Amino acid sequence: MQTPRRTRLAGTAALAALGLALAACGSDNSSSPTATGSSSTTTTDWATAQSAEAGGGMEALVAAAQKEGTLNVIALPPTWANYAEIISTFKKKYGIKVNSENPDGASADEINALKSTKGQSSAPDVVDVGNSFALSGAQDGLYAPYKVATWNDIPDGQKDTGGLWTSDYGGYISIGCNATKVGTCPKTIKELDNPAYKNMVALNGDPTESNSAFQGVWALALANGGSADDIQPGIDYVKKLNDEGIFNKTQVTPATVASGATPIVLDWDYLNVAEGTELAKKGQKWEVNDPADGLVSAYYAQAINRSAPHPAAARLWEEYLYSQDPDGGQNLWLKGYARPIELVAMQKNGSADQAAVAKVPPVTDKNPFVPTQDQVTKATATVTKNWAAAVAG
Amino acid sequence: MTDSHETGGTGSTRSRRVPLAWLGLTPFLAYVTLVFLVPIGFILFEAFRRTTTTGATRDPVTQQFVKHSETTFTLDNIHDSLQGIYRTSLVTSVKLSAITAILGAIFGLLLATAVVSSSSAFLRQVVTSAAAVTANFGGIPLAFLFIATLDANSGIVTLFLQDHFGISLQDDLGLQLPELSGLSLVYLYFLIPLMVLVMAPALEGLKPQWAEAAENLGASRWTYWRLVAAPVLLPSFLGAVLLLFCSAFSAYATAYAINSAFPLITIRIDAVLSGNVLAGQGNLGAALALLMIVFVLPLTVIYQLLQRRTSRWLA
Amino acid sequence: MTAGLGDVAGPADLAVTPRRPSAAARRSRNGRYGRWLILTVAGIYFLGPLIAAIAFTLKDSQGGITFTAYRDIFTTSNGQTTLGGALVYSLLISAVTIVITLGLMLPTQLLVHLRLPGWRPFVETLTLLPLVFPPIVLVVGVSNVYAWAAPPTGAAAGTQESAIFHVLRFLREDSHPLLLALLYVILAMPFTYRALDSGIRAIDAQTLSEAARNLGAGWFTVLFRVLMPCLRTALVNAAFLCFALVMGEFTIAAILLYTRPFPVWLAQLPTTSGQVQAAISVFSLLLVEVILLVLGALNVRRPASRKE
Repeated sequence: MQTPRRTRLAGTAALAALGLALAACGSDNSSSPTATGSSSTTTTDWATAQSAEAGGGMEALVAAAQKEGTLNVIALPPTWANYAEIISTFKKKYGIKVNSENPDGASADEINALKSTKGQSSAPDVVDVGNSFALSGAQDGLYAPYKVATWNDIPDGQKDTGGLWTSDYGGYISIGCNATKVGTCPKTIKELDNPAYKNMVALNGDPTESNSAFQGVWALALANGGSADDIQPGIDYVKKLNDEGIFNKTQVTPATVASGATPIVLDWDYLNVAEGTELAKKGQKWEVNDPADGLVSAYYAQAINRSAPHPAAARLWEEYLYSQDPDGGQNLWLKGYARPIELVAMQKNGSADQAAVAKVPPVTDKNPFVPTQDQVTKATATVTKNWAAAVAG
Repeated sequence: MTDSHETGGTGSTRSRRVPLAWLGLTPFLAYVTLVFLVPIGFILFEAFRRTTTTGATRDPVTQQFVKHSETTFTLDNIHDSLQGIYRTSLVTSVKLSAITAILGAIFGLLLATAVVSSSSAFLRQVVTSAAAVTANFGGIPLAFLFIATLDANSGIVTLFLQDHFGISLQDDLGLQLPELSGLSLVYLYFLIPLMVLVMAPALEGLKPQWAEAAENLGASRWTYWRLVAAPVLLPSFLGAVLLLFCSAFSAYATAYAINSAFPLITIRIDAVLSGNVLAGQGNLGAALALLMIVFVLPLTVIYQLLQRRTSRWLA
Repeated sequence: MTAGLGDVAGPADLAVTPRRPSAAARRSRNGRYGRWLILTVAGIYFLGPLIAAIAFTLKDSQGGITFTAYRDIFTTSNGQTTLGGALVYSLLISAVTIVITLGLMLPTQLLVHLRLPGWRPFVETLTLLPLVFPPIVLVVGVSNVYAWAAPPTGAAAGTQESAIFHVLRFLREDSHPLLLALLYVILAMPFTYRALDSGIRAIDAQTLSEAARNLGAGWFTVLFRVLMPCLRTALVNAAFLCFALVMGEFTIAAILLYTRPFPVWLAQLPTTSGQVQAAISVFSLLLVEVILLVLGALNVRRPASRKE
């Protein structure tokens, strides 16, 4: 308080002005963060390469990526489908630093980041988003087309024909349950409707905001006569549970699960099983069941930022994620209890980690639930309209 | 900032000085415009636009889509933002904010009086700093504090009442954490400290001589408060209530963490602007934000009118 | 300071001297009971949930007490920044925020109070506006401005960059997050305005400045040597508010992809344990509180108020 405030203000202003001058000088150089790869040994501009082959082969890609030295990822919680190990393995394998930004971010945050970080060295290089965001981002020209080496092992319909986005892993909606606290755990959706579960059953968030909650409502719908065209029975069922006092509206976090505040959680099976492993360390039993009467699965999607600051590293990351090696992304996701998109092909060619496959909750899915984009849009609209009224009070 | 031409300060030369003094506001106005009004303006502008995509063609070489879409000016977003769940959310937000603002103001004033009149500087320091911290403490951490205490399944107080007194928090006391009653209690946790912070300086401005003088003239403590302290404090108090209201109105993370289904307009905005499900709804989110400001502005006008009225009592 | 009531009290004092001690004593006793009652209830309300959360973080699987959750906070690293680094980063941001806030708000508010009272409603309403919007709206707005200023999507890297874009990019740089400080000044404005306003109103700045001017002081002297010392409580309050805000603000920093500010660093510590996450919340609250207490203690030790 003794130093004149005006001096400090002037000082800050001077600093800012100086900084502006420096920035102006700096941007005249051609080595801005986004112009990478052009000075590597092959004259590939990895920012426009649509496959590793087109860019000069995997070795060239690895070399270029290592030259870039950093990868920016966004919205990847370490506990989500084993991302902690996926990131650390990538770091070790290639010696590339991974900058994990906003790990708790949602798909919309990722899209906003893509739109608003051009020219920033901290712009995300790759995103992992929900399906509707993959589609909308492609339409908005946010992604760079790229086809990984294992492109043909990915089912059609789970990838953009031009390679703008590709599904990566998914799971089924499951019922996670604190067996120590609850006693008899519900195994199907119909079993949830039980007064013994008063205040216990929670979705992971609000279905207009959280993808897993949205798919959870769809699972509830399927068990109650709904379909890909009709999500309303799910909303009605939640209303029923809410009226009976069974539905718990607290947001589910590892803390609420550990403290017993949310003993029964509808969430992706890979998240529930991971939660169970964590709780087992503390001596609590967390049971996970994929309900046979409401089997809903969904995949997330990978996409590369069209203006990625590290385009080679971004592409290398994709190759790594879709690689079927024992330490590649597909098997590591499997280790995280998620179902990698290439699982069918991997089972056929024997590259799937069988020990990990065994830990993934078993599912007999005779009629895979694959709604079209229009059906998803329609269901989203229905939920937006009717959800709040159903759970109020 | 204040111009240095002025000599002797009787104030009668005000009309001549005003134009120059007006310039002194420029830094402030420029700052607020650039750092706040412009970003907000960008968003609110979107409230009046809607983009309809008629189709997209793909370039076979770059694989990029060329979107054929039309962005028009429309009032549809505004219209949608007043329907159904959004209307409910607005109403509930207002209810929650009003209740917690008034309760917070009253309890906060009491606490502030208790703190200011205390002779212990340490107590004052602890409470002031704790208030600053708690006023900014919100979201999941705050929610967890209350979940650990009052949660229907595992809250310490819930279980204690149940096991030792057989009282159910929900059925007997009507206190449900995820509903209005519980959320109000949670909101007070950061609103009361805010009130203390805002009112403490005003309370300190109450000269002890006034209290002594009133007492000497035979007034009771209550009369002193009613006729001397209250009019002096009223402008600050009203301003504080408005502040609390706005603070509660724009709060989001805490309520979402406790009850993600609770109909609050801020939760709706977040779902649209920062969620995982609804892509391409930015315009609706902007309309909802516009709704918020449209609602609050009249309140500030009313407050200013009240201010002018009460400050007459002081003149 | 205020002529008026003080003078009235003078002659009246003598008339009722005999009665005063017991009445005053009675009043102060009641006052003291009331005060302790309020403080106790407040203590239970504010400390209770905190204790409940702390109890959860200390729980052992066997029912005993363990500090592993807290130990994990100190030992877990996110690979890039340490606890100390994150604290320093946020401390610097808060210092810049405080400087800008006080430098901007204090002269403006004094100006309005002393010379432009008619502008007061407008300025006051303006300072209230940041409070009306949830932080997500502001940050998406900033993102939109940034996206608007940025080169178009298909442009090659480093081309078509406007001057505005250069400025925005500079402000946003991770190594000197001026953008955060600028936004935090706005976020804190509703509170700092009030804190300063209460202080200014309470000291009768008009009389003080006129008196000082009459004695020949220039405006700098009036501001720095007359008004500011009287406003010390308000200034300190405003500074504390800025500090607490910066140390607790998470949403805007996280969405703008900063990883080093303390609240973001803390919230994003890689941990799978629910207990550790709860411990993180408790820790952040207590740490900032302790820092403020220490700073406050340094403040209290200076000579008592010079308001008399």
